[in-house]
Amino acid sequence: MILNKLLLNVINYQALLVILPVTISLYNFSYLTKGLKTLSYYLYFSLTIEILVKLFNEYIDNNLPALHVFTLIEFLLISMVYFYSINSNVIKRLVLTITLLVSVFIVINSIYIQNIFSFNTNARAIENVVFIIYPLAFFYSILKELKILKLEKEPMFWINIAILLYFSCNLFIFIFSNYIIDSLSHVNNLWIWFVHGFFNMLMYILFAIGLWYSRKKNAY
Amino acid sequence: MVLTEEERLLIMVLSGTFGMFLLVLGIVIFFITYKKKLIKQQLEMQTLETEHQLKLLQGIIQTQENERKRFAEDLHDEVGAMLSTAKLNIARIERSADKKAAELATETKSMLNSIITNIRRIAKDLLPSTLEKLGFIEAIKELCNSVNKSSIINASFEEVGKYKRQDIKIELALYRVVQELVNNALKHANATEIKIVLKCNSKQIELEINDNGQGFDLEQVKESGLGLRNIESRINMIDGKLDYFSEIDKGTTAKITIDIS
Repeated sequence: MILNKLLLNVINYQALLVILPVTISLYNFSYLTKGLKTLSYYLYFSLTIEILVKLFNEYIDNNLPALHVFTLIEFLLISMVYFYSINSNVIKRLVLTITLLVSVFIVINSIYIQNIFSFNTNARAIENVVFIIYPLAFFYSILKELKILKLEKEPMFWINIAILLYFSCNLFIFIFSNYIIDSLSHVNNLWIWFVHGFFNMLMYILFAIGLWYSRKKNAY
Repeated sequence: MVLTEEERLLIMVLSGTFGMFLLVLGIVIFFITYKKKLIKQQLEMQTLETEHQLKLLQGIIQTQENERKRFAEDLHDEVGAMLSTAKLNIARIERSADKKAAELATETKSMLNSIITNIRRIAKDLLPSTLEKLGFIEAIKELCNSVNKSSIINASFEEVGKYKRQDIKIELALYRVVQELVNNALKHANATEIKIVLKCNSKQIELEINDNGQGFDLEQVKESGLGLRNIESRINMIDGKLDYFSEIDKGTTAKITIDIS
């Protein structure tokens, strides 16, 4: 029972850890590159959504429509982070094309394919796959250019790992989220969504580290 | 043991998640290791390239010095000797010729004296024998004396601390740099004063050359100035450090530091 309560608390409040990278991004805002500023806007948006969901949770039976909107905005903002951060013009054009196509699909999926009151598993799955490809492309571009000597001090290194880790590790959870909610017992649901929450917290911690290094990088 | 639908779903999701986590970890570790390897290779190549460039540079400068030595010796031994003989012949003509011819001979003798002085100066600039025989301090003092004699600029030299003679390559490089900087001040700076200060201790030699001339835009000259690059090359060859300060109407200062510890 205590364990269940602990899992539930983590699931309910893990997203508020976004306050950590939000605070650091506000503190270092003047040092942020265009890509990191775009990431900051994503974090501010995430925090706003979290607060609104918590506030209106009691009054709204099913808040999944918010997830549909959140998915689209999240996808656009994180894609723009990569658009600004990758130097290769070829990869930039590819990112822009994929972003456009997938955004259109996310909208079509929410309106015509999947019910707006259920998990948008199709959109989340495709988003996850794209956010596995973009970080790998970013790593590839770093290897090709060899401009960064100290990886651990490079903000986008940490942010890239955060995005790769979160979206890779949640791929199966997002694909099967409707089945998980419908078919798994309450306890098993807690464990699944605890794992999701754990990787969410890890992502925010890695974002915080990356944003922290943005001041050190641009101060010298 | 037969698994229920629920158990199968749970195992699939958790093992898929765990598998992805291990995969990401593997990718990140591979990326970090591979990048370190690439950077190391790049640095090794850069070091080899720098060493190669330095060897080429040393070869070029040595060839330059050898050519200067040969040219100075030829000037002194052959041209200088012939001019001295010509001067003797003119003196004989001056003594035995009529008034008009004697006047012409006197004028020619004066021109020859001038040419011989210039030839000696050129030969000395090319091959500073004082440097080899008496050392850097005496060579610089001689350079200052010749500048003071032949121009309106006042060149001074000051020694702070006790200078210990260094390897001829270091002394020659420093002398050539001083020569180049003094020539620059004479030709371009419109200066009235050149100060050369040599500070020595057991760990390093610091040589400062300063003029009170019109200064120049350092960034502009760095792009097009072969002289400055030549100076930098010579200092790099002896593992020295060159700091250059110049501002329009505020003169120019060059500071060379060499670690001798």
